[in-house]
Amino acid sequence: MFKYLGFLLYANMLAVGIAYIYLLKIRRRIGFHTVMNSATITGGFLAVVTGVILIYQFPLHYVLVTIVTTVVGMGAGALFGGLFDFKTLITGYTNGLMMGLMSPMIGAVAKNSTLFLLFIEVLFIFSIFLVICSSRKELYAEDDNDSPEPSYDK
Amino acid sequence: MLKMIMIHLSLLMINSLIGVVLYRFLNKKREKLTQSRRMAMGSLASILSLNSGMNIYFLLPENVSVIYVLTVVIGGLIGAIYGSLVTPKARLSGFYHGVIGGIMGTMLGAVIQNPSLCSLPSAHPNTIDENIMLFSTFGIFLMITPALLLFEGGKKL
Repeated sequence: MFKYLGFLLYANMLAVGIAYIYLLKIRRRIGFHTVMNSATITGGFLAVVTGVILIYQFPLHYVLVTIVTTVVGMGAGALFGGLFDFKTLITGYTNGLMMGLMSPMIGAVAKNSTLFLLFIEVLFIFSIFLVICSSRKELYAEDDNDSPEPSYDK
Repeated sequence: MLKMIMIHLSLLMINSLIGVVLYRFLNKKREKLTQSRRMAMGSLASILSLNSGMNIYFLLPENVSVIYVLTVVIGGLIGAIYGSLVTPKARLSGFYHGVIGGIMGTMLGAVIQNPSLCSLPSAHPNTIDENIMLFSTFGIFLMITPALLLFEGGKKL
């Protein structure tokens, strides 16, 4: 089973890419707080998933796995944070860095447990879903505010 | 042994130099820092204290309790100093981020020196020195990127 973990990593990257493209389309219409929180969530969880999967596959290359995971988390956080501003970019960047430094340790302690991987995956998918849902919700709430006032000409 | 100690001391010096240069740069632009910048300031302080915690652990790995007290105090000081550039409220958030960064840096140093703590296969003694050097230089890289980012964004302040 551990032979095919690379496909799982690819699927996770794909999910994050789809979320990024969706947010890129509507980035003019969502606010500061949504972008900052989505940068924190996505960068952190992508770093955790990448670190756990990579340390399951290559337990001997601890240093290299940590460096790769940190770079991936930093990049994802900076990409999502860069949708709004410089401040959100710094926030996402640092959170991805911290999570990326920690996640190979978590993965090494879990000792190739399949249940742990499943739990992390469910958490990751749920958080991506939550990011997209909350941005959609904000979009429609803004539409309601912008709609013209009801006319009382009866 | 002496060579490793000299290398770690110089890495710690570079780390603190970057911190001092950043502080002087931000101190010049003090009025233009708004309330919304306090998260960025806290994250910067956390990276600084993480790096210094790791380097302090490599310098004196024998007495762990002294290291924890030292890194927590240094991290809290860094966070408080950076946070108080913005507002008194930001000092709290900076203090929190700095203490967390210091604790995590110490943990990272412990795992690099003794990988069997995390039930990883224990490394050859020669490779441990190599790993320490690799992580220290990676830490300098981590410090330089936010510095560059902040200098780039500081022009827009």
